[in-house]
Formats: sequence, C-alpha cells, structure tokens
Amino acid sequence: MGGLALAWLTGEGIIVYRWVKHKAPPPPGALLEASLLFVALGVLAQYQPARTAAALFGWGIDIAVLMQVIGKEPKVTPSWPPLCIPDTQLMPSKTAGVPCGSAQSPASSSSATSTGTGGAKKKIPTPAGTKPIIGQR
Amino acid sequence: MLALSMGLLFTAYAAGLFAYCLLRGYNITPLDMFHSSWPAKKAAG
Repeated sequence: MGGLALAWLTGEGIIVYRWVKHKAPPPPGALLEASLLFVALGVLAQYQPARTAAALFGWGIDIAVLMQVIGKEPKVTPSWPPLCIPDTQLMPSKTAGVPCGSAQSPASSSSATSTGTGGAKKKIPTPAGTKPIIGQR
Repeated sequence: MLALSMGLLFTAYAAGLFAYCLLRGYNITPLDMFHSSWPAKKAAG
C-alpha cells in the first residue's frame, strides 16, 4: 500500500512542480485524471494478490510520464492570478472579471468621492499639528 | 482505505484552493476549479 501511495504522490508532484515553475498553483482539474487513475489502482490494491501489480503499474506510469515531460516546457500559459470579482457581485460567476486592485466599477468609485446630493466632498480645514477626531465635523 | 485517503486529500485541496480564491476575491467558480487550466483573462469592457 505504501508503494502505491508514494507513486501517487510522485505523480502529483510532477504535475505540481510543472505548475509551480510557472508561478501558479495547479487547478484541481489538472490533478483529477491522475488522481482518478491512482484511486482506481488503490481500489484494485484492496485485493491482496493484485497489490504489488498495482504499485508497479503506478510507478510505471510515473516513469513513463517523466520520460515524456523531462526537458519539455508545458505549452499552456497559466493565467494566474486570475481576474477579480467585480464590486457589483458577491460571489464568483461566469461573467468577465475585473483586474485586481483597479477601480472596479464606476458606481463604487464615484460614490467614494461624492456626497449624497452629488456635490463635491468638502474638506474641513484643521489647524496644524492637530488630528481630526473621527466622526466630528 | 488508500483510495478513500486519496479522495479526501484531493477534495481538501480543491476546497482549500477555492476558499483561498474567494478570500483573495478571484473570479473563480467551483466549476472553473475542475478545468485543466485556469480561465483565460477576459476583462469586462
């Protein structure tokens, strides 16, 4: 059982290493296929006579994948960090996001600088060396 | 038992990464997590 678990961790490690090299975490979907294969091998390994064969098959897959990917750059360009949720939404959705850290929506940026009537915000003068008390006008 | 552990670890990783994306405010839906790459950047025009 330990051999198969190590083979699984090695296989996932290959995928994770290739993503981390591009400064992005691997999406769970990228790990899903490998995980499903090793879960199936884990179920097979419950049958005592097939345990060694399952572990050997797992290591064989790892070696085959390594021989395929060593020295080759992944062709996908990871778009990480992804875009952020717009201010008008509470939860992530399929609609297009906005760049993180930017003025996210015109409504939110205008409300920050204007008063309720739409006029310009007045700056209250304070004497030099004093701090305005929060809430005092 | 091993298969169950693998499934639990995978689920924990997916849930943890989704929670991280939510906390950082990233526009990643639960379905996006199960694609083989992150969604392409298409800013709202």
